[in-house]
Amino acid sequence: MTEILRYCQGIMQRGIKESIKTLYYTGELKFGTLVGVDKVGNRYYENRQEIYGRHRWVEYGDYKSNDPTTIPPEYHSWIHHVSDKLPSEMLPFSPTYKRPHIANPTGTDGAYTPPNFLFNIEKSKEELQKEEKNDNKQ
Amino acid sequence: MLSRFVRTGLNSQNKHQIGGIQFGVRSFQTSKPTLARWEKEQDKPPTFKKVVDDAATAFFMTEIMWGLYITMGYFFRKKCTINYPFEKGPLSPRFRGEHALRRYPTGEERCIACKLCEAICPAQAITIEAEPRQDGSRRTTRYDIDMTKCIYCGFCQEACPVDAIVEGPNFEFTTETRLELLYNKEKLLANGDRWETEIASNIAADYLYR
Repeated sequence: MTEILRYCQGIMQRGIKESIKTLYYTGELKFGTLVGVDKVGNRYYENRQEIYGRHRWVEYGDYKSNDPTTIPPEYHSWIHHVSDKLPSEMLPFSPTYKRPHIANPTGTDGAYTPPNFLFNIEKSKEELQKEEKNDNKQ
Repeated sequence: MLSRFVRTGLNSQNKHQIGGIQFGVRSFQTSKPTLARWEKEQDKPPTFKKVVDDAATAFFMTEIMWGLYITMGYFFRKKCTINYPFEKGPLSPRFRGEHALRRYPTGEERCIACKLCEAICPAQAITIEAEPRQDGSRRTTRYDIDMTKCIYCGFCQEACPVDAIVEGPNFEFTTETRLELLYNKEKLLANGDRWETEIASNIAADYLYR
């Protein structure tokens, strides 16, 4: 019965259209307090009445490709139950040289490859040739 | 002969005593084997009540109904399966995931190329080459970790005297190709720059035990 009640409350919170969408893409209809939204648009919720271990969850901004690597480190420790620190409390740990978080880039052009990978060698050769041409012009 | 032995063996109570010495054929069991429920009742003729009861349970499928009742009970109960990637499993602040090279708050890299991590690595996944920098400080020119060799034992971060190499909290770094897992220094420092917020908070959470 609790499951039915939960679904009703979920629909009450979101509205029918939105709840059908979340039910289709996440397979679950939960309700809770919105804890925060990150830069990518992932929404973080909490509901203490859920079963322990399932009381924190994300709804991804890009709901069609639910990529957990888009979760930035500020929310990562919270969503993984490492700590109860919210991003505002994580701020003092954030260094000055911090780089923006990126999702796992594998399969894209931004993927990391070691510098002695064949394509990278060719790329660096081309760059060298360009530099040499520029030097000749000057 | 054999059958006699077996028979006497089964009746373990059947022991002969001569002059205080116990002898006889030793049985394989100390007591009679307990019979199953149906074996005991096998010899008894079924009563009328039993026949009617059995027929009724078979006809009304009471056992199947009882099973279905339990199934429906669990169907409406709160589920405890974690719905990854929307919910995530709990991690420890000491979790050993993807490696990262840390920096000092000034932005200076911590690693001093002492090669302790390289020495302790049981999988020999770390390769370090070092040279004095132009300002005279000793730094690595090459810091490679083969993540396909790494067994995530965490010895490198325990060996490190300056807390430079750490295993961060990130475990979602799967790649499509193998060569993307051959990390060099640049990649490790980038990891450190991205995850430093959480690495620092995890270290702070564990300060009493370090």
